[in-house]
Amino acid sequence: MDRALVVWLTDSFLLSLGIYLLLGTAFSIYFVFAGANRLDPGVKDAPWHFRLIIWPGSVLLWVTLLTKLLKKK
Amino acid sequence: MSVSYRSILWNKQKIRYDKGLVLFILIFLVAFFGIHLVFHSNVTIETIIIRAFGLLSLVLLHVILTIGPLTRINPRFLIVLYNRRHLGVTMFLMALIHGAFSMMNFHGLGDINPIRSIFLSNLQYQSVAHFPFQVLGFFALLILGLMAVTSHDFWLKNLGYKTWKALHMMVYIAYGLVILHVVMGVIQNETSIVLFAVILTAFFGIAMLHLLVAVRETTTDQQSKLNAEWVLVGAPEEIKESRAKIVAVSGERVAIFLYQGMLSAVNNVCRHQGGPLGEGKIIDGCITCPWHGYQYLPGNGQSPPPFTEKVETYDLKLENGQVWVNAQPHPEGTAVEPLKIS
Repeated sequence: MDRALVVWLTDSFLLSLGIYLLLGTAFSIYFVFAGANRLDPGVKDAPWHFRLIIWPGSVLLWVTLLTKLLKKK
Repeated sequence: MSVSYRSILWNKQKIRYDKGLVLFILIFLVAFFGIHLVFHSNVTIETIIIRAFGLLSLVLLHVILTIGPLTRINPRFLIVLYNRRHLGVTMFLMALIHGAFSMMNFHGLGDINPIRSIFLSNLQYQSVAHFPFQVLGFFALLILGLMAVTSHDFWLKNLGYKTWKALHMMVYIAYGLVILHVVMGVIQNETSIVLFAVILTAFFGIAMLHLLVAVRETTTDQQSKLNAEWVLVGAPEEIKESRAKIVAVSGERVAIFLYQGMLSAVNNVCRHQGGPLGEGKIIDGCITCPWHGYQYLPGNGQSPPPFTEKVETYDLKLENGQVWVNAQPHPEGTAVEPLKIS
């Protein structure tokens, strides 16, 4: 396979993934401390380590969660 | 089953399960390291770690994929299924250690980004024999990671059952990638055929087990005879006290429970993780899911307060000593008068 094409595909994929995860990390800070409470009342009285447990998922699924929060609004 | 979330809902059974899991991992690692140090003393410690955690995660993945079908064949395996979630997260952590050490060992010493190096160090993408198998492992790890971080009930509730289930069915894609990753790795790096044969046997074992259960369940579904809007369940004597019979009604499985001389019918699918309610039993007056203990009242399909889960209910009738279930379900949580049979 053409090296230039593989390099381009790899760099595009990793750059997209990096941007996605960077935006997800920013969103997750809001979500873990405030957004999750709005989305699900069961979070309100949950301990701090529960928020730690949902943090990685909120980085990876930030688009879905943001959509749900906007719909809820 | 909880009103507000906890990190982990510990109970005696889960603690016992996790202790057993940790013990298994320790024994596995000690045995693996011991065997390598005795018989392959020239191998570096990094290589042993990569191999040990790779094999361990592969074994755990096979256990995870085997539990589901095995419980359908024999309910005694439910004890392993009960805390499969912890097994899944543990398997991912083992795979992550394997992946991290592999990346450091094989890609961390060059002058390009190690993740970039996974994709670019071997460009023989058109070759089957020399395919860059680590790329397959990378994508498998991504999928397993996504599943591991969404293993909490919070995600099940907020993503919705269908989305969550679809996400977790990706384990089969991950499994396919893992098998290709391992088989290609073995082809490229091992001269012994034994490991290759073991992996293929495990793969076909998993495939056959799933096929066997699928055929069994399809046969069960086809056994129900349709009679206009009513579907035949059978004689009440066929159902044991506090247990259920499952029949297929308009493409849905319905569990008909017998308790205290009465029959009630509810949708067979638990709202928690899709467990088969009809394979559970009535405990303390509630239908109890065999997978994780979620409960529903047989008369209205609702979880007892303060819980909010609900399943559809169905009308039943008794004609000439035979029980029939109406094909039209009532909305989730609708109260239906139980059918008295004695």
